[in-house]
Amino acid sequence: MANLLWLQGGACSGNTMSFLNAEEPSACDLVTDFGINVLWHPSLGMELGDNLQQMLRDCISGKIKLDIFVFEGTVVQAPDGTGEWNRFAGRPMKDWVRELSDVADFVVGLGDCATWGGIPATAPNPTDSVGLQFLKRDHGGFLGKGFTSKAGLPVINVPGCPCHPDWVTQILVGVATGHAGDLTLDEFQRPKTFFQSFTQTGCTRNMHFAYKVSATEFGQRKGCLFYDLGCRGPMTHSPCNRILWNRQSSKTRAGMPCMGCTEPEFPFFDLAPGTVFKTQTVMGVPKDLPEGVDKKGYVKLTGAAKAAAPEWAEQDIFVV
Amino acid sequence: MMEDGLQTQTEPFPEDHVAFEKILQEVRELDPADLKQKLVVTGFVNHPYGEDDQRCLECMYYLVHRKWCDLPELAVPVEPEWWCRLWRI
Amino acid sequence: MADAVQTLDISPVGRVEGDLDVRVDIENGVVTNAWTSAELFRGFEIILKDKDPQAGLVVTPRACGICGASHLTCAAWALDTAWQTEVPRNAIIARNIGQLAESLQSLPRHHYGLFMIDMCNKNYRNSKYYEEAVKRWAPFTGTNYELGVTISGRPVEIYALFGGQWPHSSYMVPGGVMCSPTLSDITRSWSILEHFRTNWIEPMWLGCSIERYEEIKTYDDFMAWLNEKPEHANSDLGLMWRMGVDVGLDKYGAGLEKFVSWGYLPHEDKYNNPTIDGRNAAMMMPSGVYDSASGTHKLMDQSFTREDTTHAWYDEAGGPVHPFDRTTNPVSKNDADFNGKYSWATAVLHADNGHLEAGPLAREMVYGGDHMEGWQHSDGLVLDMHKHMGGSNVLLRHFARMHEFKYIYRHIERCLKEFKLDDPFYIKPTEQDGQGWGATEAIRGALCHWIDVKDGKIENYQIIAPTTWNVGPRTGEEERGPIEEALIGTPIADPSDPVEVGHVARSYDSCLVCTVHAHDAKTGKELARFKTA
Repeated sequence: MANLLWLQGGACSGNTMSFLNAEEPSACDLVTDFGINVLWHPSLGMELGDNLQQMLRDCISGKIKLDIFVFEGTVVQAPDGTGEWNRFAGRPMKDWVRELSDVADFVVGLGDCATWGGIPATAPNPTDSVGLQFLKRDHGGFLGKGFTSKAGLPVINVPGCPCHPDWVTQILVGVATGHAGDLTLDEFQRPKTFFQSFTQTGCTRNMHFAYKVSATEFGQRKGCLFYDLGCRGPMTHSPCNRILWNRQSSKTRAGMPCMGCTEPEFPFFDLAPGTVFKTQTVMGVPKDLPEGVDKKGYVKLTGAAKAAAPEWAEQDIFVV
Repeated sequence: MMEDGLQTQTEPFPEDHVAFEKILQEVRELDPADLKQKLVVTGFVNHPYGEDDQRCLECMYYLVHRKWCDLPELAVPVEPEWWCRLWRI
Repeated sequence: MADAVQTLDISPVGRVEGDLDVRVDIENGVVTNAWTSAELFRGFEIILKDKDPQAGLVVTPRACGICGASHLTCAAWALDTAWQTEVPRNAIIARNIGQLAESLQSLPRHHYGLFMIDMCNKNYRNSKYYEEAVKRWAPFTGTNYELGVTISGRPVEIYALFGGQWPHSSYMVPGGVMCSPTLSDITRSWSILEHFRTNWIEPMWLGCSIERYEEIKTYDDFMAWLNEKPEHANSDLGLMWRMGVDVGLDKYGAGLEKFVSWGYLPHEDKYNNPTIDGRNAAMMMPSGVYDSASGTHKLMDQSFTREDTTHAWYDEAGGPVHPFDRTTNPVSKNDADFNGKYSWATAVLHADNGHLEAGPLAREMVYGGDHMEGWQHSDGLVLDMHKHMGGSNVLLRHFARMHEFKYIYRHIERCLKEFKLDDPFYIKPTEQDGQGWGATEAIRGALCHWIDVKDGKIENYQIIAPTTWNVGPRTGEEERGPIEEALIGTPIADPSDPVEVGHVARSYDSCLVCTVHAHDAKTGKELARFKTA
């Protein structure tokens, strides 16, 4: 039995909604089959008003053991570092976050807001939002670089906007069943099991990527989205095309460019004019190349790919 | 047309995608049937271009088997040794 | 002699999306005054200023993880009107199916996950239905809770087939959609829809076929259906209704009795060259304002929208203004002063009708009118029930929401039939400056976006969400907001566990994450005024 508390800061509830799409296991299975006791969740609990405040105080005092503290949303610090623009249960949410993080065995940041600041932290960051232990690429965030929870781990970051339900449930089950030791985290504290591979890994457009065939406009029935439409699949770490979304598809499969939402910089280029759904180029070459590829290699690869391109690569492939 | 010495606008090469889009926009405003103006605006030449000898053959939009430029705004038959300033890889 | 007034501060009210605080005055066990405060500020419109014109397609779905498709719908249509695009019929259908799939998902998710849990509250232990309610609807462990919450993930699988994922796709873009579905996407969608019908709608929700339910046209028809068979009476709908009446949910939560809907679902052949002014004539589900005091229906138009900041945490002079004309300027010290400012939500008004209620009940009251054209949707059931029950109440408001499965289901079917897969899904538009407006009906009510594109970037972006209508504070003339008004007269059996307040709030399905982003966000002194053309 593991006690889980889930709070939302500067959040859209998207990670909760995504979590509720989980099927194997489902959100209910976590409770009925995996021994997770949900102390409270903003969309799912019974507690209301004063009863909730008492329960939170009991967690902080140790009267209730807090095994897993899940946080969704940014930590809002405005105005002037007070956090008053996000009040919860009678006080700034950030004060609850600090005290609960200090008593929890494990702290899990769900989604980009809780991990890196996400959309609310986009310039000019009007709410002075930060993630639990990062702001974009900067280590530190709200809890500080040196923070570790009682179990000795830093915040476990499960990014994505939103994160996939399976990424969440696997981590929660792992922690609740004593397998937290099996988790290895990357430099951004993401579980490697999900974030070592790329969004492109498993993408149905890989052949068009290889032979340099571009989807030049939306709605086409062939082509890779990297070359013209700003897809970040080759530079983004996620299992979106290994563990499909809603059991059916993924953005790139459906024709939508990956926006790199599991990376700290999302939304990239702070959504400056000319950057949305368009590949950024420098003298005809993509500004951001597939991870680990240099420009020289890329140019050579292009020549070879064009020379080898088979005839079918030029035809529609995702036909009716 | 190009063999007849058609003068086209090869410079400036678009430095980034914003400049690229501007040229694309100019092409979109042309009469789609006005092949000559398309070639002029996009700076077509019938030989490799620049110090890297850039040519259609390596360009993103070149369809090798159909000898065709796949950029919707252009959509013209081209030869592998040609070049234009909408060249992308 | 009356008891002393007891003031109750409830912070937060759980299971509304976002942080809602409610203050109520209770006298003799009944609420006599109420204030609703939105307690989160995120600043989305500030973020959108000076950004790429298409940034709204990325940012606004993330304003709300619950109604992201609805935000995306508004963002896309707003850009379409600003850029004067042409939208192919397949794209209109693909957008509609996304909106519909999200709404269908929300029915069981809201019903089991947020609303019915309250029926298991110990305050109702004396109801003869209590034991059965706990068995079915207790959170996580209830038999129907588990099935209902889990199956709510299925309709958005249809969304994923067209948009890649739910929530937070941006597959709707000016000029159409990004996807180009194949036959197998259509077939899978049919199959998912069928699964949802045969595993939840019919066996669990209705206890009968959809076709039988569609025969219900009046309150009397509904009662006859309820009593026709034990399968009907014991279905989740039947039991909800019977227990709802038993515990008195039909007796309180009336509200303002004035309603608004933007209308939605553009017809695939009538909105291919979208304009702001042409919108009302293109919607399959008509827009409207219904005032039950006078019994009159009329169309709704965005030009009547007003915002009043008297009691909201903004420092703005003057009376109600159109969203175009606001100079939004937040106060940084947001102490709650119930005689002064106490919420991040503004009071949203109709220029002639004042505060209005948005949401499924509002839509259904609008559909009961005769102000629409013959080809547009109409349905008089909820209006008839409203008349028989002597007005709105918590039970009817929730019933109206759940009643909508009927046409949502039929419209998804229609979309799947109407696709012509070999025709285009996208026509590349020419980017240009201009002003646009896009609207839809999220499951929880009227949602719209205004955009002003200038010099190739966003000059101003404005959002009014359904919860902004519903959770807003008093106006300058001290007219209470819809939920504030609905709380008046609510009986509170146990002030230490005021479940009744939760019932009222949750019957509106308020979504604070949505509201707050909307208002709080469009702030900043540097924001230029949004001028009407």
